[in-house]
Amino acid sequence: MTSIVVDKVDDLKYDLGNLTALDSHDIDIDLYKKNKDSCIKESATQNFQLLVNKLFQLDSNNEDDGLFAKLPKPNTSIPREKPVPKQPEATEWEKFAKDKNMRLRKKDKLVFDEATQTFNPRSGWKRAKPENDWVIDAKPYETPDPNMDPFLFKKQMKKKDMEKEKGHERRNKGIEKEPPSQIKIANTKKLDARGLQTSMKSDFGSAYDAARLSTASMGKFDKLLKNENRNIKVTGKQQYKPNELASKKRKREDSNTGDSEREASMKVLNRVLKVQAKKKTQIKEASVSLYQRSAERDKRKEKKKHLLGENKSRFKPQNMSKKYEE
Amino acid sequence: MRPLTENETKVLFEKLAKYLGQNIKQLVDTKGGSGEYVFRLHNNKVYYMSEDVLKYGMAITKDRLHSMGVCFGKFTKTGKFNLQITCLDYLAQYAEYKVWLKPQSELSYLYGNHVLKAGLGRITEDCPQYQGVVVMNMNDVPLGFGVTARSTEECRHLGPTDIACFHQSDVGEYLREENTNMF
Repeated sequence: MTSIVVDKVDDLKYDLGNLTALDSHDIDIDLYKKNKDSCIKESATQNFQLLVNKLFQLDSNNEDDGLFAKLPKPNTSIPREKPVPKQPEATEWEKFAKDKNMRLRKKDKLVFDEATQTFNPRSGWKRAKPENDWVIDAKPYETPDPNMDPFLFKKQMKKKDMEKEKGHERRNKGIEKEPPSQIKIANTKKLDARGLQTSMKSDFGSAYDAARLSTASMGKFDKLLKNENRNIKVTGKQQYKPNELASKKRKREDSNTGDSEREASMKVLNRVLKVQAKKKTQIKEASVSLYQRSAERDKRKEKKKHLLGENKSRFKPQNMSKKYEE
Repeated sequence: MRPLTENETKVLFEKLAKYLGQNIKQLVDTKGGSGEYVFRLHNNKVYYMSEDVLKYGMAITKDRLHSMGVCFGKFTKTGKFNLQITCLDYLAQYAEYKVWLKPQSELSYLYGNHVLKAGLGRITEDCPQYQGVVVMNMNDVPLGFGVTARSTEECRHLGPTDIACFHQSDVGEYLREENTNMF
């Protein structure tokens, strides 16, 4: 068994926090050439023994699981795994502020409102309103129209500023131009039931219809594609019939205005009833034939029984037992 | 309020024809007698009213008009038509086929249950399967309407707990559906 006492000058550099020791001596070349393994193994064993000795000299806690040394802080700096994060590129405004040597102070979020004597947020919901908001100087030379409402002008200018700011924001992010939310091909105001623009497909359709109608003959002499419908649906607002019933007097005057409401609905009714009657007879016929078929089947069964002699009850007087009960 | 379009009229008549058959003509062809009667659409509901009521109704703006005449039912968002209990008076008057309930099963029907064979008092002769019928009690008071589950012939051979007529609507709804706007 090897001794814990090492026969060597202890001039290692220790980093006990990382549990390392550095031996900066050169290797004895003569020994190394003789036997590589034993040379390195021996020096490693000795150095490790020195390290362990150093560890045992540290303050320690004796606990149930064993001895725990209190390690000092590591003093070797280890290179980082990931590259250093890059600084984000300065925006236009940040560059400008740097050039001009501007000091940027943070504004307080809350502002004291003189009118209400309370602290309110600087912007957003419940923000402090300037005291003199109810009256604005009219600036007839700045507004496009000298008689323009200054409140409206202020509102418009604010909107303009906001749009400008949005453009700057886009530029800083490197976006050239905001893409349109939906590309419209037909310049028609076609809306669906929810009041939204119709789909791309119907938009194509309406663009195509509009193009077809745009010739001098309104598409009458155009060559048609295979299976193409010549009738172009011109859509518009649905027209309903008038609410009031035509008076007898007026009806006599212009009798060629079409059917009265009653006559029109009678026409529809007759059509409906015709279809209904046809359906009913079909059902009836089907049920009759069903009944006939089942009756015939029963008859055949009886006949078969009779021929096989299974139905012996035919020799007995019928309903005899019932009569006795009565 | 506006008149029905041709398509809407068709859908309405198809539904009514299931209950009234040829008798719808009595509702539509109202030339003689007590003035003309018309169907009108308002807030997706169909109303049946006389010419006089129509004239009163027309004097009221669309957003203030709540209802007029008798509500027959309403069009669904998909364009189907649903009959409502409010039209029962007209249905009972002109219905082709009827079903009468025994007194002990009246209450069960009025709670929204189907008509069982045990509760069936009488049924119109020759009634086909799946035919729209008006349900009445033995004193000829209309209670609601529904659809036959079996034809009259088949009803004879049913067990007592088999369904003879499917429930669609009954006058109990006036109490049960008090919160919904029926009229």
